Amino acid sequence: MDDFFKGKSKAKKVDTSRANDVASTVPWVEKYRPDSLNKVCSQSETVNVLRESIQSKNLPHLLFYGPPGTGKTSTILALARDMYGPELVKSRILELNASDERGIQVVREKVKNFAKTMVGNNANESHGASLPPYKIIILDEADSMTEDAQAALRRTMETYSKVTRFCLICNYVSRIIEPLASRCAKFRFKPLPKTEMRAKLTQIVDGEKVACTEEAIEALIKTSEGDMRKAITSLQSAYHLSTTGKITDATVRDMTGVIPSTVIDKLMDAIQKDSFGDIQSVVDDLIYDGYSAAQILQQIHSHVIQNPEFSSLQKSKMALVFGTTDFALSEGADEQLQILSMNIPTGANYHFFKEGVKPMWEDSANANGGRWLVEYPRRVEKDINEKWINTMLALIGESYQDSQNICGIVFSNRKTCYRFSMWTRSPDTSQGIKEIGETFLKYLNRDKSNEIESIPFNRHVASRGAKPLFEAKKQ
Amino acid sequence: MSLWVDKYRPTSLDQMTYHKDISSHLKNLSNSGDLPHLLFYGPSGAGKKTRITATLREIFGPGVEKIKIDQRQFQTPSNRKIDINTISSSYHIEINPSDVGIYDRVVIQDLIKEAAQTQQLSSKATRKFKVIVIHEADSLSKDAQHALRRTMEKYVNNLRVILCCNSTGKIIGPVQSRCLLVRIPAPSVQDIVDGLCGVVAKKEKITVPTELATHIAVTSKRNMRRAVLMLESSYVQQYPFTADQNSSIPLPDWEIAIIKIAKLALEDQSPQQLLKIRGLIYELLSHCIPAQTILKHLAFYWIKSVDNELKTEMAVCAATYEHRLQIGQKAIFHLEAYVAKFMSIYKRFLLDISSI
Ligand SMILES: Nc1ncnc2c1ncn2[C@@H]1O[C@H](COP(=O)(O)OP(=O)(O)O)[C@@H](O)[C@H]1O
Ligand SMILES: [Mg+2]
Repeated sequence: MDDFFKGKSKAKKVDTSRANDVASTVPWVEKYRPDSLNKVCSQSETVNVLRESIQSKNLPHLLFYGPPGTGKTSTILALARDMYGPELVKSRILELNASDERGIQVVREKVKNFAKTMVGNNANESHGASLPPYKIIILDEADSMTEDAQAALRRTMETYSKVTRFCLICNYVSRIIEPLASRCAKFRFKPLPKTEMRAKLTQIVDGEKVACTEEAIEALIKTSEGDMRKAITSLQSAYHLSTTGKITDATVRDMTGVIPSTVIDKLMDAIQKDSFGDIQSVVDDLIYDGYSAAQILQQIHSHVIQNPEFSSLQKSKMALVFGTTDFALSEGADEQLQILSMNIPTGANYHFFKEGVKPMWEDSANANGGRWLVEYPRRVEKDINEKWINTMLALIGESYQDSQNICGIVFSNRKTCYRFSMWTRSPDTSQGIKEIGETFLKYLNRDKSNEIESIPFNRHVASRGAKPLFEAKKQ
Repeated sequence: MSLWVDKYRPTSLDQMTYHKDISSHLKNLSNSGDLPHLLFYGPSGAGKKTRITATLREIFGPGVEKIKIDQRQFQTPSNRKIDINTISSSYHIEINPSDVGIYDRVVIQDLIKEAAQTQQLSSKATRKFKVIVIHEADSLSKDAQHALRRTMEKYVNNLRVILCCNSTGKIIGPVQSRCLLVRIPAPSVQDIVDGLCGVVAKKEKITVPTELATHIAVTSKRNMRRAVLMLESSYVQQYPFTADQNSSIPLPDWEIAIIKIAKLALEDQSPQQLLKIRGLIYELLSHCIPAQTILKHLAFYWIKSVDNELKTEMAVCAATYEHRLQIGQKAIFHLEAYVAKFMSIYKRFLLDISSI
């Protein structure tokens, strides 16, 4: 049996002899990586500036930043190729990425050795034009370098500035220390726009003679969110996976781990009905099916945000919940428990108010007023409708003596309880207010279920948990 | 004699009984000549590892099954030497970052670079590349994951990476976008029933009643491995199977111990009871039962047992303390705090009810 690591010394020989009989296995992402600045899609501002600086032979130190798969690595490699030609490029660039040892000492040493061999301003036959007198050092994934290593890099950059140019690449520019960033020309790489993605994908589809529907391309664009690498990897995988030889949007969705919208609908239904049992069964299935909590969160989020049923206040409350959950997840909290405990406040309020009075404290009718409040635990569910109807009918039927003092009633469906409140105007005439409270209680107790002995009244402005101003007792 | 789980582990994609579509996808992929980097994810017991092994076999032939275990030495940047065990064949190598601890970046990079510089020598090899399988990739440090990014592109000619994890949540975006994501759902209850009543029963020449198989499938929480283990231990306990055997399927000792704790807290909520429970939790922890497992089992038992009205609050409470457990240091503090919190919520509820 051969050792996994054997064959090191013979690598060269084997390489050539085997190159022919084993099919070329370069994935499409590499095959279609732009090899010249002209072929870099989008990012035209960056490309134009870079092209100018090549022409003027005045390349500054560079800092590329932006999300993954937007062409950062490709651009610098393409630039180097354009500058030095395909042969010389290998000897003129030094690529150090996060996989290389990048402690202070090592970087200094490597850069020193690399920069030592001066580059002459000699003309190059194959390339025609004269070459720039410097080499390029690419520090890819620079955001994973420690601050100390970055600080040490400042000196190195200055020491060799005559013979080298640095190109730092990272996802987040904030991870690069300021003194280093300020020495570079910064270029932001944006997620690729849909049109560019479509053009590139179509080019590959044509180049590889793949059968692929329009919808599949759209699905690829949608799921990759401007990440070209993801789009191309997905395209090739879909191509290998499809049993029929034709890529459809179903293949793509299957592969990218998107939860079917019917499942999300079911989950939202359960959340809105506030039925814990239903929520638990959907969440369990999702987790057992291997979907990640982040994916579930993201899809619930976009479902909720687009839903006009929810007020913007509710949406911001939900956003708070999503934020908390996402944070806990990022700290390694358990996915199943986090999703299950996401207490999304979808509970509704039903308002029944006099004409012209808005159900808000700020309304002038309510500003000095207050409310009678009753809460029933969720377990009385089946009697709640009856109570709501009784209180409403009493209001319509003018059963209250001091009815001009009434503003309206609110019914709230909460996770933990059902809440009725009767809103009144200013509580100065205590007699009238008390009478309203007693009548309100009478109608709440009318169906003889879950009878309540007394209810409190407070001004809207009273602080939470304050002692009630009045109490109304069962008669 | 080996356990049934090991005896009936499928070795080729064709033998896989459930998720046939995934198997056929993997088969297409393996035969297509060039394989992308793969990221397998799904709950534990879903069969990720089995599927990876079967895929490798599909790609390289039975040669991948000739496995040897080596001890290899790596040098850390601070010149410390660490030894780790690797499993390898001539076509692939497997590592588990949790064996390596904080030096995972160094070890993985060394392995990848070394492997990438070597060529596939075997004349029987059908592929130019070798494969590195990284198990439990969720436990890879961020540092190691960052280091994987460009490496996965640079050495793609000679090397493919297969990552295996429970959830993609802990894998950084740039690594995910370099892989084809393969989701392996847990087998459905029906899948498990078919497996138990079909393959295992036939090979062992026993009959397994469907009700028993269904009961096992549900209790196993859709985990094939656990289900087969449970079937085997029921078999050892009593065969032929009887109708009332459902209730006596032996649970593992630690699970019985956790259920006992859960019941104690439901029976009585008092400082004395808490003290007693603490002792039991200590015992579990000293038997190396992970704190997270204890907490989750308690949580789901309580969620199941309490009144509907309380379930949401129970879930929120469990999630809060589990999160603290993850970032905290001393597991016992958080577990005890969780039990205390449960007791206070539950007691308040009981008082509420009795006052109505
Ligand atoms: N602007 C772009 N134009 C053309 N191809 C691109 C572009 N951006 C990304 N790609 C494709 O995605 C792959 C990865 O791009 P790369 O430059 O490595 O991304 P990163 O920004 O993460 O360094 C390339 O191989 C290429 O095929
Ligand atoms: Mg890159």
